[in-house]
Amino acid sequence: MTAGQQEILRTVVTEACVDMFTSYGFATRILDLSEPVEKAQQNLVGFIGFGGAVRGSLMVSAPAGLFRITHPELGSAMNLSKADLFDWTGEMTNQLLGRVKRRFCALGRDFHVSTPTAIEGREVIRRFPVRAGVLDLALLVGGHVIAVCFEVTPPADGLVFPDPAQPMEVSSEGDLVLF
Amino acid sequence: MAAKILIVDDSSTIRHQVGTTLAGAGYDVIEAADGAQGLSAIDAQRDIALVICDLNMPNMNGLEMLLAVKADPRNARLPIVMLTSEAKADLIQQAKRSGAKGWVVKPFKPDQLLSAVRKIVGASA
Repeated sequence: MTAGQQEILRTVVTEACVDMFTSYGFATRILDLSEPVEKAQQNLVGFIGFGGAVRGSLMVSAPAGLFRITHPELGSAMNLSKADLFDWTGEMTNQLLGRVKRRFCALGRDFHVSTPTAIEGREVIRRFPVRAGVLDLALLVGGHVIAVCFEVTPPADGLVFPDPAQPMEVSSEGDLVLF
Repeated sequence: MAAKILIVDDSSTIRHQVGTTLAGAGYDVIEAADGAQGLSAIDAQRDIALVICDLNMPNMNGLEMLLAVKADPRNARLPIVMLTSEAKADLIQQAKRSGAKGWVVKPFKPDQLLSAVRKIVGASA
């Protein structure tokens, strides 16, 4: 991937993250990856794959507290069980990939989304071996550090985003249309 | 009698969120966790007034369920609204051509969803 394409990718994924957490009502700060992260606190991970002309995956890891404070039923009568948090972890990851995909389509690249899954562990942001071509982001949301890892394999021509771009028409989050 | 609405989504969070919104407005809500379960529910319960359905689900996705439901002439008038993180216009048009009644891009706004439901099935009672 060229440096230009990498920069577009970083912008797309970063904007999607900030957009989503802002819509949940949380200020979001992008962290420098050199800042120390309390890895032991990262214990829930959402994971979703995608395929087509480009293929890869999105991973979101954070302390369970982050998924608790962003849960749409927080403050309602619903008691959030571990199963509820697992489900929301996957669903949040799914919605984040949806925002990334919308931006990809606007830049002329589509992909098929899989179904998400969630796992629990310790120090889950650690990756062995470190791989080139993987976008790593760290964000501070609601006092919690979130690690986002986006991996994409380009098609044979090496272009994640077609050049020139052929934008595809897309709706926005929250849009509702009745036919 | 309250209108019965079927929510089809593999996420229990979304099923609960939509269900709470609709039940709070007086609708009768039932759930299914994938397209296959949704299809079975529609076949078994002939008094469903509206289906709200996710797209990307295991076993049977929302478009597959939509096509299977509409293949049965008994379901010609059953409104199905897609609720999904997918936003591409081509996909929305495909759903429309396949017989969907509407499309909502997640995350949904409860008041907006409720207004749409009332337009489709009327008030809850």
